[in-house]
Amino acid sequence: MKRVRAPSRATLRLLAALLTQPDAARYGYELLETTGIKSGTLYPILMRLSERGFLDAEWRDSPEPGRPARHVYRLTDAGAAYASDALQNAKTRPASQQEKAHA
Amino acid sequence: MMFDRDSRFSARVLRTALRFMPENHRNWSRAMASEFEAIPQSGARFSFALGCLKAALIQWGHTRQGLALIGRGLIGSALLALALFGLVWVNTIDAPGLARPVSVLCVIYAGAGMTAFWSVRQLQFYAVTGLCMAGLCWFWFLLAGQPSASLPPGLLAALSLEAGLLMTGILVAATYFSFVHPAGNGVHD
Repeated sequence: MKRVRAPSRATLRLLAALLTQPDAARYGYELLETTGIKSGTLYPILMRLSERGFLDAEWRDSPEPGRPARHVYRLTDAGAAYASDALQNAKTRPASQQEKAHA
Repeated sequence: MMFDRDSRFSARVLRTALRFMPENHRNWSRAMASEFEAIPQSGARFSFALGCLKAALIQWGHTRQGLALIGRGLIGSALLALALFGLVWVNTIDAPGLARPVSVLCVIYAGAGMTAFWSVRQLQFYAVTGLCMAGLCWFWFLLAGQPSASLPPGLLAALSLEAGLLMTGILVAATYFSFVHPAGNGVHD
């Protein structure tokens, strides 16, 4: 049986940020600023969530002319359900277990 | 200007990061690059680029190629540590006749094994290592034989140190050349 690991605190913070406006498309830099997570942690989480079908990542033209198109991220329906569950479980889990958890 | 120079350096860090990103994550490389362009402050750009380097290295470390290289690096480092330790140990034993040169030969083989492990098919490496082994064994043989008895201990220690440095230098050079000119030996995979 495949063991499902509890999401890390960084993942929970990201999920919480995405869940505040589930339909809004967010830029990577915006997520960095909102959550305070470093890019070295954020991108592997985004990749993992995207691979698991919890996150939609699509290209959007930059609002500034001459700039390249940027990736925007949005939770899928499955992602929103997963985020709600994960955040709910995190509230009931003891703090010591949360510290041990990884993404 | 300081700002431009910092930004150029950050861009270089990011380009390095993107080079490490595995082929199946190229889309994410593009996403990082375009996000980098959108960051206004120089300090934030550097921090972002450094984070991307970390993320790319993590992804690369999960690929077969990355795992193989990390494994080789670990085994190579262990062999190098063993070789250096052996070199120090050999220098402390009081072994007569052929015992010392033979021990040195074993130590050099361990060191050579490290680079051979990285580049098994590099013929120039074997040539360099062979010469290195022959030269050093001859050198140690002289030191372990009669002439060493007449040499002052300080000079003996200096010569031993020189031999160790020489071997390290040659091994480092052999490793470097086998990486820089991998196709220069006429052997094709």
